[in-house]
Amino acid sequence: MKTQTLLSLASASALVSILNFGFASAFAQGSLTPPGPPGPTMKSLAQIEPRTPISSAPFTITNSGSYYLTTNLIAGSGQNAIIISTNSVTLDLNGFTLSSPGSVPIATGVLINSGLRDITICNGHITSSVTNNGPVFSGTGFGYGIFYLGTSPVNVLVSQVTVSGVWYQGINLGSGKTTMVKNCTVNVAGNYGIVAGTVVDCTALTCFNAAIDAYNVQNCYGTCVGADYGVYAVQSVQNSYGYSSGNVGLYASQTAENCVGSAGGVGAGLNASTALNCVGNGSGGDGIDATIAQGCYGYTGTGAGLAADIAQSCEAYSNSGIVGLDATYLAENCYGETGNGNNIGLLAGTALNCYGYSDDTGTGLSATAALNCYGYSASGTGLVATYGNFCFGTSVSVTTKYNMP
Amino acid sequence: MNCDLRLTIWLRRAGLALALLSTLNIQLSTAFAFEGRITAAVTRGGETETLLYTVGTNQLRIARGETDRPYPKNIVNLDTGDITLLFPHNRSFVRLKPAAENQSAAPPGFPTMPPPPGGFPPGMGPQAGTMPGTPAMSPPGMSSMPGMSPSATIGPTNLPGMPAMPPMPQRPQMVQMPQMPPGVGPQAGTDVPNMPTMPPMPMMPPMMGKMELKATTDTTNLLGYTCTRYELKQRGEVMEIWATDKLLPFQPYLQNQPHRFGPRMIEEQWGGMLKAEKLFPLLAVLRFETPTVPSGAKPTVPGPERMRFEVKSITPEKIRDEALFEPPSDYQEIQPLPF
Repeated sequence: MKTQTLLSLASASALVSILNFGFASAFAQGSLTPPGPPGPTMKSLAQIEPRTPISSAPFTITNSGSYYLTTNLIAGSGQNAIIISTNSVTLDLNGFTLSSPGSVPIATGVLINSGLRDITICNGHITSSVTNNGPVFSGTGFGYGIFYLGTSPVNVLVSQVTVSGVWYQGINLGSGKTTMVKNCTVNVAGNYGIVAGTVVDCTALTCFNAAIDAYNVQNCYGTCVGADYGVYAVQSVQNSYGYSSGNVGLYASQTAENCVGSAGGVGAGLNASTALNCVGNGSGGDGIDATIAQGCYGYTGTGAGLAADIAQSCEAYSNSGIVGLDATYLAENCYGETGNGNNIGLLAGTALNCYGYSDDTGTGLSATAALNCYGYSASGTGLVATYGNFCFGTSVSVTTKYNMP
Repeated sequence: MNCDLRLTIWLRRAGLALALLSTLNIQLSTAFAFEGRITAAVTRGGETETLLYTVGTNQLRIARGETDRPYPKNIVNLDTGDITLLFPHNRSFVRLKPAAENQSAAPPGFPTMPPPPGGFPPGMGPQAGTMPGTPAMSPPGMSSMPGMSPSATIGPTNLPGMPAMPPMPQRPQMVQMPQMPPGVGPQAGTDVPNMPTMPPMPMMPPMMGKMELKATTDTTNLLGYTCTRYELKQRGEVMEIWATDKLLPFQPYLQNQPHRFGPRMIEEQWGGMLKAEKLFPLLAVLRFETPTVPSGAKPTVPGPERMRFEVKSITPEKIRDEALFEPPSDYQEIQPLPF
């Protein structure tokens, strides 16, 4: 028994020695003195939210940086809600709304002072209570949604913002090319809807003047209830729709591609230097006006269905206008039809592989030179040409014939 | 003696004053010979609108005669050319400088039409075949156009709650194409097999040539004013204008601030050209030229009418209501677009 006790003590002593040796080895290499006081384990407020909150209006941004709304803001009558007066500002509306109950329509939701640059405005709403009742705009609230003073700003991006019910303009960033409005909507503006360098994925409805006015427009939808353009582009428009009750529905100074333009008055449905795969719908004006039209379809009530210098693979119809398809110089692989009256289905300088049709007493196809064409008229002349080669019709009047009976 | 001298001085001063007044009067009457009201009708696309010109001493007001909508009104300072647009629909107005008139010129860098490869054959305009830089297209059948279903991809597609694209109006029903002899009419290819060579065609007019207002020697009397006939031609259209220089320089009616560029058809240009010549039209008719007349011959039958501007009445009178030429006091001035 005593022997067992001694053995146990010896074992325990050896274990403690081993453990002691191990501990001594672990701590023997470094200092036991702490390197310094304990540091903070939490981030500062500036690290977590390095932005400046805005919780009341009016608010003027005078320092560059990032700002965000913490709540909905209501501007006083005639007051601008937020004024940006310095460069390099990001304003996040943070999903909140700027509104104005005022009856003095000179105020702006977000006003950019003259000549500023590097500004982003995003993610929120600007609302007031102007409505469009027939031709008249009335109500209260902001005059402008996002607007600028004096010299146009540069390097500006406005995205994910909705503007509704303003007396004058929805979003206007001026004449520069370095401004972009993206993913925004404007609904009811007594003047212009969206004006910027580039407008992408936007909708502007019920604007008295041009709903969208930009250098380039993509994937947009604009309607004008006045006598201005629905969509207007200094350069090109792609995949967009424009309507105007009193002017051209969609206008592109250079190219319109995959677009639809519609006009309710005497303006053309679509007007472009080059129209590719477009549809134009006129009422009193032409369906499509273009220098070159390819793969287009135009129709109208009393204008020309499609009028172009050169039309290729196009189709046009005019109900009672003077011509269905009018190609001043060349119509190739085209179809033109006119409905009522003594009008011309297809009118061209040179017509190649074309078909003109008159439902009434007009001429089916009329050209200076017609090659491989056919003209039909219900009770008029099917095909009229000065020079005709391999052409036929219900009745034919050709001054000089080649390969024709 | 003193009395005679005073009388002489007074008479001289009175004479100078009279001379000055008469000079001013002559200058004013020369600058703005006409004051009064002019009513005109513009017919286009089956619609007619009435324009009322009210001409003051040095101001002009242009308004629409129709009252179905709150149409904008123009106030023109005849001295400076400044234009004020009044917008009754939201009680606002905008002041425009005359430079805005020139902003519908061709855009910088606008591409001009390139000739086809190899140039035009003698006497021929654009030829069969694809245009340079354009994708090759297979000629479609006449009853179905290629790519004519753009509505599926048009407009924004990534916005929640977007209004749906309105359905496209139904295309008018095309009639059944009558049976044609083989090889006649629109074909599956642009090259017609075994087609004999075409003889030289008459020369096409130059593409997009500069439009010029050409005066003729024809004159007539319209509403008591001797008018000269002018002609404008462009893109197969011809405009006949009877105008006088005895009224005032023409001012086209503006419904909006002019955009940077716009349609440059005759309808948009003729007014400015008349204004530059200080002419006022009493009758202007735009027609299509008849296309089948051999080159060089004068058409015997006028082409179909596209637009007509016609002055219906001219009433000389002194306009005493100065308020006509000022924006109403409750109108808000807005900033013009910076274009």
